[in-house]
Amino acid sequence: MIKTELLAPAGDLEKLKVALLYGADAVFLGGKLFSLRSRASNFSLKDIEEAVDFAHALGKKIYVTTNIFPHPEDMAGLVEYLKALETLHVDAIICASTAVIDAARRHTNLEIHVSTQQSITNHRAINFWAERGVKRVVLAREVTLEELENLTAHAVLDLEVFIHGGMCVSYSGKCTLSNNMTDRDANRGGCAHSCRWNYDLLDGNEKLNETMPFSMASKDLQAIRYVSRLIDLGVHSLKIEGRMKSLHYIATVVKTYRKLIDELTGEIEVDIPKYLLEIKKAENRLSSHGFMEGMTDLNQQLYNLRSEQPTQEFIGLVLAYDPKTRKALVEQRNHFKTGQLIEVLSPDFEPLTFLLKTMQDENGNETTVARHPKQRLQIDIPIPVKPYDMLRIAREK
Amino acid sequence: MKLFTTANEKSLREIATKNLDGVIFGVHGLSQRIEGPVSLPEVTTLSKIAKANGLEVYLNLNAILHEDDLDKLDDCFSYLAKNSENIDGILFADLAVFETAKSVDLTDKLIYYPETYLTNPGDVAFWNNEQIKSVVLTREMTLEDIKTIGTGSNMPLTIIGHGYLNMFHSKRRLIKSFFDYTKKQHAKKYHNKVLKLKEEIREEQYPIIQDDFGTHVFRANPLASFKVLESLKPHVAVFVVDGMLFGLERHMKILDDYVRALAGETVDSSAYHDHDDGFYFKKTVYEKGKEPGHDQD
Repeated sequence: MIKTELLAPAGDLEKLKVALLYGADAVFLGGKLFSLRSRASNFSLKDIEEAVDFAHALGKKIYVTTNIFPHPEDMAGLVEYLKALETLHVDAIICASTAVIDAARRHTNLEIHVSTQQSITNHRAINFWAERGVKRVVLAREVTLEELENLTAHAVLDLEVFIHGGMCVSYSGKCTLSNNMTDRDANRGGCAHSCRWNYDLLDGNEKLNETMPFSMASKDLQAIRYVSRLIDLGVHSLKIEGRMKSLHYIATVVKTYRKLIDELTGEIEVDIPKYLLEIKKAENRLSSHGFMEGMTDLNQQLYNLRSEQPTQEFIGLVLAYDPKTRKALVEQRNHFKTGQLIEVLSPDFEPLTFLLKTMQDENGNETTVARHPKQRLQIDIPIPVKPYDMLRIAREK
Repeated sequence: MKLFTTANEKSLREIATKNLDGVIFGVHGLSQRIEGPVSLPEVTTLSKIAKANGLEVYLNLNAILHEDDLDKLDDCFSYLAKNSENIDGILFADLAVFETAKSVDLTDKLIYYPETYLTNPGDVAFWNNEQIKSVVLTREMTLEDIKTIGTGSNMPLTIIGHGYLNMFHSKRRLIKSFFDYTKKQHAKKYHNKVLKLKEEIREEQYPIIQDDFGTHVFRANPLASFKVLESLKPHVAVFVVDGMLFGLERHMKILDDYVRALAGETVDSSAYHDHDDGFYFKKTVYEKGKEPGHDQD
């Protein structure tokens, strides 16, 4: 049986390190060019070099997204950029555009993965790419588990399947709502999420949504219950979405799926409800199984709800720990105070809780409240922790 | 520049009386967002009529195909392998169509029509290398982009130059799900019916249709290309008028106007006050520092 890869997103270097430390086998990231996440915090070539060094030292992989559909004005520098990625020894690029794929094939030896933006839903489309030097296809999220069974039996390439995170409600790469409604090209990193807006649904002059807005928004994908089957089917890579998501999301989701995959492949009896409870701690939008069970229905849609609800549980990131004094240097991420029950999330052990009794501010003064974002505090923690461990408010059982 | 339009059993005879170069038929189960798809035997009958009237014939096999659809695709190409003499082109979006056409040696009739993916000269070069007949450029492109691509292209280019263009396709039945959630008994009544979406702070109304392929949303205003026709001529081999949502009478009026416009006559623009220029003169933003969405990757 092949070793199933757990693939995680990384929006910046800190998230990348967390994803790898918490158990991802590989991370995908966007560079400054040709990536759908065209935000300023994307990785520079220097960042990518650091990312590759960090990952390779752990025996893990870095994939770089070059997944826009570029217009003529975007094409300058493509070959140079791809060659630079090759020089940095990235493990693969994720492409949607035939022009980018062709340039990579002609000018580099980069491993090519075809993006879910191509919305590939059948084995013949996979075989088309197999004949053109592609190593892996990221399947459309519309593929059902039943279809996947047939598809894996015929496909001749490595397959990557989304198991967690936000979902385009449209076939990916086929939506231009954003282009038309906001002049922002969804296929060049400008998606404005118009599918998640509120609408009236009209039949002539008659409004059909009398009591609530018409919504097309989808719930996020959460496939805890399906990982076992995906592994059995020989899916090469299980992918978590969310380059824009928080450090805490990355840590929690990656650690949960890592442990699940390890238990499943180690033939240890798996307590699925425990995993469902844990993954919920990173949920900021309701989730469902997407297309895993077949055609979606009302239970895979979001209605009458704000689309996103920020999770407030993540309160601090451990920067350092002194075992002699049992004090941790912690960077604040959300408001917290003494007297609260705190949970430590670590890649090394199951979540442990402690009562926060005392802490000191940057000047060594005792304080009872951590109010300021990124504020640094010394916290008395009875549990040995280390950098990149995280603190969150413990949920009542 | 040849003038093509979408056609069906009902519209063909009238289209045949006009001075067009070709028609595009849909095929049951393999063509989406085309009114009046027909069976394969009907394609044979209709293409004979078209040919007798000097029209070229394209088929539009633009569905996104899942595993269960492949048998249908095989049946289609088994039929076409024996009955393709009157078929000049086959539009396709799913790469399974390419693979299946290859198995019966019909790739030279293929025209790649992925709607959103054909955005630059490199894409055209890729498909030229695959030795297919043509590609259809993305609709969300500026006139300058089209000229740039056209200038460097070695293969004939096709554009959808007029019509209510779709801007969203979900496999999900979003209207049914909504009515199921609100416990309204509308679900069946509104399948295959054109409704409109109105966003809460915008005035435009976007046509939305749920059918067997899922849910489709269209631009609020149809695209018209009269203003840019002369500029397109040197770069575009086939100009398509998509008749969807216009109704037969207006569809025919639009065709008359393009025939006249291509002959150098002036067209009364007041008839097109509800149309717009699409993206011919509008660049879509791609700026670093913007906070884009997610979900794609």
